[in-house]
Amino acid sequence: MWPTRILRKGHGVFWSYVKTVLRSISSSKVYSFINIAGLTIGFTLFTLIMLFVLNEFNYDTFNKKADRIYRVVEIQNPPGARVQQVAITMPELAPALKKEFPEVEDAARFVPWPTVLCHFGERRFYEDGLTFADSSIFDIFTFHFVEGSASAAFNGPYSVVIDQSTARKYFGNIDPLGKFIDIDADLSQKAFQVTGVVKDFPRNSHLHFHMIASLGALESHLDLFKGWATNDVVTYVLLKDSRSSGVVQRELPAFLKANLPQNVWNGLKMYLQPLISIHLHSGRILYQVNYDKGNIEHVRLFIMIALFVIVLACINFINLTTARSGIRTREVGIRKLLGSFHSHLIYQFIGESILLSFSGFLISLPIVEALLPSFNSMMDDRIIVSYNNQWPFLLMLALIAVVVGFIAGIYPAFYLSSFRPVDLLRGRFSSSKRGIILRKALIMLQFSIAMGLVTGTSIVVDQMNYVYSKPLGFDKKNIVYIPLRNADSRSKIPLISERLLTNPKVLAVSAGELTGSASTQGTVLVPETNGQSRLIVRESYIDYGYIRTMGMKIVEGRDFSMQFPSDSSSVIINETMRRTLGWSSPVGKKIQLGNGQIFSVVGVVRDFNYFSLQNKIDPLVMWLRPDKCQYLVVRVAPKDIGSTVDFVSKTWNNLMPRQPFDYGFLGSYLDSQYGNEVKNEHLLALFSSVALLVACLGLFGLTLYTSEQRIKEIGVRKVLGASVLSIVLMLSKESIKLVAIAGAVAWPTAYFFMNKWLQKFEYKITINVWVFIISGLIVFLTAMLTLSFQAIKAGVSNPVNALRYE
Amino acid sequence: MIRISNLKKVYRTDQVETVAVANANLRIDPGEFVAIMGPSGSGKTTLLTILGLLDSPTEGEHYFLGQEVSRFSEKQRTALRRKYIGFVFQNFNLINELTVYENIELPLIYMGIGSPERKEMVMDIMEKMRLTPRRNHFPKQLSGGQQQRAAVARAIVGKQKLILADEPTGNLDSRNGDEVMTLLARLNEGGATVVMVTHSTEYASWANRIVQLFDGHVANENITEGTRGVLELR
Repeated sequence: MWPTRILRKGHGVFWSYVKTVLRSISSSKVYSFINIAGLTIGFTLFTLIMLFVLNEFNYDTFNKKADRIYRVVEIQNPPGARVQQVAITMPELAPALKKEFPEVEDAARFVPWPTVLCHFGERRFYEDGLTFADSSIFDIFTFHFVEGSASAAFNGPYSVVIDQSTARKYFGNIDPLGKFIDIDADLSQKAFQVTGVVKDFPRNSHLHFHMIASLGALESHLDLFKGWATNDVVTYVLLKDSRSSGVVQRELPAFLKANLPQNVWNGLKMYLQPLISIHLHSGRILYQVNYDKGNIEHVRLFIMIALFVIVLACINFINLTTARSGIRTREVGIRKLLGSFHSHLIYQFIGESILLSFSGFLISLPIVEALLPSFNSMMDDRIIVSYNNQWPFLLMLALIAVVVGFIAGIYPAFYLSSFRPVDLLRGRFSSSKRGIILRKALIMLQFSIAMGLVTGTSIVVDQMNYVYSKPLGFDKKNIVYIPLRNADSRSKIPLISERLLTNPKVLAVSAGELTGSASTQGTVLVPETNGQSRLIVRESYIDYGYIRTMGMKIVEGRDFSMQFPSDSSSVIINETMRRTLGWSSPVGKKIQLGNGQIFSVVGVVRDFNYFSLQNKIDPLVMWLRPDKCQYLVVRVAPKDIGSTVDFVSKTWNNLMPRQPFDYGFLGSYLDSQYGNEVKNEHLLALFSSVALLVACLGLFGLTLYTSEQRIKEIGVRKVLGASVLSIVLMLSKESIKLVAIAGAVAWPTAYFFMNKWLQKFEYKITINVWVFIISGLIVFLTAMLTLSFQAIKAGVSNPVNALRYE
Repeated sequence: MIRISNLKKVYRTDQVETVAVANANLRIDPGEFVAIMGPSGSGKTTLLTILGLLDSPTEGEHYFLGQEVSRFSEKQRTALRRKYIGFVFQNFNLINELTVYENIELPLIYMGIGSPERKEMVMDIMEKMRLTPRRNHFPKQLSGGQQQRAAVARAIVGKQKLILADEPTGNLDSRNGDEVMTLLARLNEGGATVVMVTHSTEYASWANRIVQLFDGHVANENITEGTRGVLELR
């Protein structure tokens, strides 16, 4: 209403305000810079974080039926073992759910396949995006068929639907429909007919498909994918109504009891996990298909930092504006004197604040645009964002900028506009005592946030350094691994080892598993122990020399050796297993498999980490099973690694010409296991440093102003004989007090939250008291630095000048 | 034009109650030039704030242009002030962020006068005040005398009937002081009522009437030339 009234007066009042605002911005450059820079940094960070957060929340939402799709998660709790959640289920579950629950509209099973060699003619590639699935997948998830159709996709068992990039890769310009592609999945038939081409699956999906083959192909050949006894398929259900998930959930236990064999049912529970929560809320699930798995804790931390930064920028604004109100009081008085209404002035100041906030927002836009590519690559291109088609988002940001301006401006507006013109006649223009308590409280809050951020960030950094430098129990450096993808390659392990070892730069060769990948879990019986007859263990299949090659250590007994033919029925256990079973001399003890086969322990390997350090080491049993080894591991000399890898590649290609050479380094593989975690933590550290910067900016402005304000006092004290030092001390006293109070607020809060954060790590640092002291010091020193600068300047200046200043 | 009777103004701070004006009675007729004098703390400025409708009295009656305004709301007082009263201060009180032109224009904007008319009025008054060459200067770029001329121009640009001046010559040397006094006297001759607070007996003698304040009372009154004011002393 007010703008129309003002505008009716020929824009005069309005433009007079705009002019005053613009000129007051340019006449107090330092303060305007602090305000606008704070807001700009705030909005830049806020926008980047919001883009990231929105992207995280948007995972899987492109599916049209997203709200009705659920993944079945098992909670396994066998007696004597740790509870674990897995997102894999029995093959029979999906059809049974569809049959027995009227609420279930459809159900689909997935069997994600390990990397497999595929070829069409001479085009051969290793595919890691192959999944076997029921045809119902096309009805449940949203696919866009470019060729073929969902209904006809899986008419025959050896059918495969591929995405457009795969189609281009294998077929180029040839029409793929009806062609046969060879998939080397150790099934009786290799040739799969292409029955459909779909658009590439969106990036923000927890599922990544390139090739979807009919599950029928597996069922007809492998009993593993039938019945209730195995646990190898991923199950999704589509409910008729999203509200009925509770009903299904409640009836699941009875359903499981009725359908599962007694030995499987034992302690087993299930629940339905909503599709849209899979990306962010699957931290506890051990075995699952979940590309780019996110972490809701991180998302929350990010949002918190985004809000902190905005709050800090607002506090800067409120503090600087109210502190410097003395400068504006005269203007307020004159305007009122000349007939401005109180309300007009409130609008003026709020408008000014909105203008500042909005300019901060506008300046942040190109900065965000410039930062996005590096931000995207930092996030592994997880966010593909540009401002194109982002109008709703931009509009939302603009709205937030206005709201922020409004919130930051409302107190200063009421505060400033309340000055009375009477004071003009009385010559009182200095800022009144009002608002000083609030200002101190705000500075205190700012100190607290800054200190909390410094504390939190340094704890995060400490923890990550600890995780990285902690001995893993093996030597991850200089290990080249080559996947063994079929029986043929596994049968050639001795041969290739022999050839490789002819090169002196190849130090050791063996085969086994990659530590860091999810090893399988099995149950063993332990006949000779006190009551713990059943034990859930991690299983590891290795070849001769694996322990030595990996730099692991036998702490008792011996490694597998060709000198002992009986080693095919020997096992090596880890220290945790020995401790769990309470065996003081484990060598010679027996363990038994479900099928009755008995193995005897020949050695104990020092504990090593096979998952990330967030997971605890479980009991582990290593079997000598070259036929089941997934990787060839080659320890190479640290020098000339490139030429050594060339040699390995040539040797491989000579022996196995039909299998393209594919390799990796264990070190980088393990680092990638932390992948998102590490990236997120780096971002966290980066973001909180920026937040700290904004806080410091405000502190700088305020201390600058405080010391300017006290120039007269300093002058008087100097006239009375005060030394520069005593003046610096006098000016610092206030800051010391504020830092102390802020510490009292920030430290316990930071301790509480960081302690909670650390709990998710099995191996964690203990929070050191120094972290708090140092964070306090950093914040205090920032304040002191700006303050002392001003204080010394004032202190050494001629007091006459200071007094004349009035 | 103005009549106050039994006017009392009390300021209360935490524990102290200060009587700034007590039982003041005064009548000022249209076209008068009144000088208010008195020692520091005698209530001169308080009286001026009340006459200028910047503050309300604690007790007593205050008639302005025939209306009893002592119980007017802030908004009502603002509306009257806009239209009828111009102020001149010792320290000029121009807005530093606005140019001379914009400062003078400001009251017209608040009066709701349209842009073309406004321009004409501002240019006219600037011409009279010899400020035209300085129109785009900011206050800090002007001498004290120029600033005070701009302040006077702002006070009268809206053809205000009452000019309240608070020590208008206090910050000026005698040459500039004389010039400002001449301006005020000329305005008065042109029909404006001028009420001026001053410490200077010399400048006070330019007025038709001198009102002496002491401890918040109107203590004495001298008619300098011709008796246009009517004094009600109690």
